Amino acid sequence: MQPRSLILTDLVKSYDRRTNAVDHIDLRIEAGEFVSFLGPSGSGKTTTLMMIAGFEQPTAGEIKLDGRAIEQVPPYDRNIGMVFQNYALFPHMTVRGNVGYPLRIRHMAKDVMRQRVDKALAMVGLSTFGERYPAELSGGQQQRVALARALVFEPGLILLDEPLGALDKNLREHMQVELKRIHKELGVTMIYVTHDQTEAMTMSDRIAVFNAGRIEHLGTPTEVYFKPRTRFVASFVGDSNLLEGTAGKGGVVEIPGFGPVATAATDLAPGAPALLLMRPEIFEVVADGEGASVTGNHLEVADVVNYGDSLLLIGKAGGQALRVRVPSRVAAGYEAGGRYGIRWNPANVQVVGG
Amino acid sequence: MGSSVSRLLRGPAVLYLPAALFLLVFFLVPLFNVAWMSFTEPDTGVGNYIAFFSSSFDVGVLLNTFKTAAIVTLTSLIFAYPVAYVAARYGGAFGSFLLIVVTLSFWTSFLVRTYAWMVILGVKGPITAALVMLGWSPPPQILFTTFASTFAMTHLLMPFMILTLYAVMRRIDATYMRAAAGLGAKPLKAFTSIYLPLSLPGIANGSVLVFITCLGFYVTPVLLGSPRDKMIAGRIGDEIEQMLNFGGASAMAMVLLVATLGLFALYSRFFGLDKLWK
Ligand SMILES: Nc1ncnc2c1ncn2[C@@H]1O[C@H](COP(=O)(O)OP(=O)(O)OP(=O)(O)O)[C@@H](O)[C@H]1O
Ligand SMILES: [Mg+2]
Repeated sequence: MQPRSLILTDLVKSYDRRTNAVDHIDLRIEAGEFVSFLGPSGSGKTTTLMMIAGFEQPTAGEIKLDGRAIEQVPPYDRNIGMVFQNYALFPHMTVRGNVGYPLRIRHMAKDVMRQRVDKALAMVGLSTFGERYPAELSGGQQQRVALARALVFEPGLILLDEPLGALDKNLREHMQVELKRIHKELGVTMIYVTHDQTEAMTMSDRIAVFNAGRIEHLGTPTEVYFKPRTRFVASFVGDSNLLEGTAGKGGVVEIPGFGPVATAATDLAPGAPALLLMRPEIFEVVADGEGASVTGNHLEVADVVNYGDSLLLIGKAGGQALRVRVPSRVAAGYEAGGRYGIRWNPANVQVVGG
Repeated sequence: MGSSVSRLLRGPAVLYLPAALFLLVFFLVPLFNVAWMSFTEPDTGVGNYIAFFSSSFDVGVLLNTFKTAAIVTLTSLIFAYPVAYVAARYGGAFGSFLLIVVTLSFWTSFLVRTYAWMVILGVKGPITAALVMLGWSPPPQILFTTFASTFAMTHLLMPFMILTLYAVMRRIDATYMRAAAGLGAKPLKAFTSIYLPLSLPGIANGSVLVFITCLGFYVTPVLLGSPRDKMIAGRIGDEIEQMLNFGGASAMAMVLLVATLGLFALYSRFFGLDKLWK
């Protein structure tokens, strides 16, 4: 299976000729990459996928598969594997019938076909389920059949539209691992649509963060999480504290009420507005603290939320709402109404877009 | 069929009581009465049946009835399928319009529509006039032919077929066809391998409905068809109205009933109606 590369150039799709569901997207996906489309509902992820698969015609722009423009190629000639959100398994065919369908279409020899179907079913761990009908399978099993059907004809590019959306948390995590394993094993290019940021973080080589039809940030999970390009990306990916202030000298940003904060940035023009991203987990909570400084402040806790593996302290520091996440410790004894010192390392404080 | 019946009966029996009572009083009792008469009027015995089967005319009418019903079922399926397909697949304003037209004709009585065809197909009707204008002279006889009655019956029964097909097709998810295309199937292949099989229950339901309804057609063949197109319901009517032969008429009705049931037993056996509706 030869992995395929994909280039989207200035891609636009408008359903109603007034608003753009997909609004000038540029994207280059290397052969063998695992790229996630992450974004809120209605941000154009599915529409982009549909244009790549050929089910929707772009209003403008270009789609190149392995360097070849494919706008004129009908979906049945594109040779792209697709897993639909609702799986779209053919209800009148058995699991084998479904998985063998793309091979029958290609008039493959019977024995080659049997071999390939066996292999695909083994890959998704459903070897003994071949004679069942889709209605006789659980959601997770159906999802795996859909995956087997999408990769059995060795398409080189597989599109997955929120394939795990309908599964419960455990099954979801299990399938995430399975998917990654299959991605590695086959070396195939995969585009994975999700609006679950954890999923995108854990699985992707790169993440494209969609908002209102645009890609606001394209980068590795680390880049997207720690160095978000825009306020939207900072708030959409992960839990965040966003503080607005004015740049001072030497990477220090003055936040009204909160005080000066030392940041990782060094090249801020003094006097310019700056948006700070302080992830809740960068803080260290200390018994009392030395008082406000460029690396510390006081937190007045209004609420403590127990997540099991961590505690979220919600409160205020210098008049600014602040969320602080600390590992769960039985002995910690944080309480609503308490006042604690907080500290941070300037290296962990990012200036958004900086 | 056995399993679905037992499944039905597993529910609280009392809930079925009103329906069962209704069936008993308005269906089973009269049916039994007809069966009884066929063996007792005017004399006790199987005389009525012997009379029926020894009349080559009557047997011919019976065969013609089944043949006509089969033709009408087939033609209405051929015409109804694309209509239902377009309405279900493309929906929108055009789809709704199609369904409204179909439903309107569905609500108009058979008799009214039959007379309408008499006018349209008649010697002074628009079709004949159009043919004459196109230089077809003398114009062909359309009314009182097998064609006219088959054509009209097809039209009368098409709404049943369309609506039954539509009910099934509407539930066929559009992503199936997309999935098929994505997997490499050209439109025609996707249709024959995915859509057509998924619409089979509609085809079966609609065909059964049309076929059975058509078996009982009485007025339309008499008014529009040639005398050779007589169908069994018309024969039964004649027997009662003109000959006052209730026994003979009852025997014909029973033969029709048994033949129909036999046919569907075979059909169900080979095409598995049960499976289609699962
Ligand atoms: N077939 C369509 N006709 C008209 N508008 C559409 C159609 N499909 C999508 N849209 C619109 O285009 C925009 C983008 O939709 P899209 O389905 O691509 O979003 P998405 O990112 O996949 O969202 P979700 O996470 O909810 O699946 C939305 O505003 C949606 O209403
Ligand atoms: Mg979507």
